Amino acid sequence: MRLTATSTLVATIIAAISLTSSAHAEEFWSEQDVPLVPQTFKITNLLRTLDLSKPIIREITSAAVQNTHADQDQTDYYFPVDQAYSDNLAFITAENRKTKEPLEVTKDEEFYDAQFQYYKIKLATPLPPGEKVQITVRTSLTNLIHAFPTHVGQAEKQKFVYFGNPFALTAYPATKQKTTVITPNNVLEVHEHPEEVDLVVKNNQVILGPYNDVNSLEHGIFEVQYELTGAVPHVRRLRREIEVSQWGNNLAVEEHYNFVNRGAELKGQFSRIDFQRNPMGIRDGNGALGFQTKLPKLARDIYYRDEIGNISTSAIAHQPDYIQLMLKPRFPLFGGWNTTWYIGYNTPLDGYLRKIAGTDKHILKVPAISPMPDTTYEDVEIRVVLPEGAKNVKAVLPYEVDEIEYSTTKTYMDSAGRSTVTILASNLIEDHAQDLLIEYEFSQTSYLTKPLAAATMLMAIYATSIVFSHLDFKIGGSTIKK
Amino acid sequence: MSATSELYTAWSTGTPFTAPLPESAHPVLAISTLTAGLYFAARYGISQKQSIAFDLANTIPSAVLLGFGIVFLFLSVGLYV
Repeated sequence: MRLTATSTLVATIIAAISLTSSAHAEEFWSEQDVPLVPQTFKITNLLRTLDLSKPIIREITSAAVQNTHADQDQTDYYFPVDQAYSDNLAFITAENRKTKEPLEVTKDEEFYDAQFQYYKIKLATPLPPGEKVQITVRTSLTNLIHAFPTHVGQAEKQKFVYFGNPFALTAYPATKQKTTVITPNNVLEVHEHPEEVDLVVKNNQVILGPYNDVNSLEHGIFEVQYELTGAVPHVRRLRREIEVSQWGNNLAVEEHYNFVNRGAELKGQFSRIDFQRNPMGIRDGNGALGFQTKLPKLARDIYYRDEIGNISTSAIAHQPDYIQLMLKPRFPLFGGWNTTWYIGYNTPLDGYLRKIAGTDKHILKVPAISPMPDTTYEDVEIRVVLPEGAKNVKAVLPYEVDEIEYSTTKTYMDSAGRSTVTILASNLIEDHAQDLLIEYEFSQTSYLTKPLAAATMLMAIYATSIVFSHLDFKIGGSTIKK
Repeated sequence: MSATSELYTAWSTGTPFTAPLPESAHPVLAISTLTAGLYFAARYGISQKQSIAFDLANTIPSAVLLGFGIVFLFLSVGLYV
């Protein structure tokens, strides 16, 4: 007995010594960020891909994690994101790498850290101790690349610089991790600050790693400069108004855009001669020449206008599932240039509105935004105007937004006003073009509100006329005799 | 998230919305109700001091028909109220 006790004591001491010595990887112990989340996992292998080939950076992190808890099944895996990037993180999804089934990701409120925001990923089935599971997390980050140099000529290719972390930010220690950075063309320059990290540059990839025994929340900085042609489309403000008319079986959509090209600014003046004479220059430059968006298949009465009036440089192509709308603004948009426009169309309502049989409940399903490729939306306001007589309105979206407000709007032929849902959101990208669901109650008798309101107004006029026609305003009588 | 998914399943199992009237009927109904409404209005308008009963018997149908007529008129020209 005693022998066993002593040997376990010795074993514990040796284990303690070996643990502290393996922490030697971090020389400055006081600077080590300690994760707040329970340390119940260990990452055995991690592969991260940073895709820089578009203005919106996509980061795909695939990790093989193992449950290190002694006896408890684990369901919550925490994924940290730097608080400095909280405004840049547009979209985050997770899936099980083997089965491809999506996992629920929620922003964690429990563990508050000034430096890191944790996202809780719920595993589909609880993971037994010692078992491994492979998780893939995809994040999209906006507004993180900077044009370098900040001004380029009209036909010059623009270059960008990106500062990143060579280590994948993890809440748990990783035995092995590797990061691959992909740029659209050959990498121009790479720098590491200030630690020396292993990196290899191969054509259009920068391979950082593989790094062994990386601590949780490990930080470093590396810089990569690369060439990326084309505009950086950014919508500063989008107001999307959707009006539902049940009388007319119609859904009217109108979208107001305030658009800016966030690419490198133009050096010198814009030369129209050079622009029109040099087709290569148009291809290599960063001017935004046109936009494409998808409209529903049955859209009609499509218009494209701005403050001046109709913009005729637009075209429609009918595709099997949708209508491709190609818009060309009045002038090409170089870096820093902006423009505003609005488009609108009508579509039949029966594709979007469904009624629950036997009740008065109606559910409307519309896309939250109509996506433009590679575009970031800074400020989005979605207004849905429901028919008059809609009650108990409730709106849900599959992702978090800033605010959902319920109010009333008065427009044509309204007596009581129409229920309106206003949704305010920021930092949206193409992936956010998911369905917005609105539920409301509308009884069949509400259809009569409009005609009867008009009839009441007319009746008021007629009643006045009847009253006045039966009153006698004759001056004098026949009683005076001369 | 579950609120979205349960609303989504409710949407999938719902019956598609059907308009109270087919759209092709809008112009026809607009013209017919407006004509009938104006007929009654004219009948009241040119009458010379008839009884109140006669007046009401003409203005009430006129108001109701013109009310419906205005709604159908708006719908048939593309102003979906």
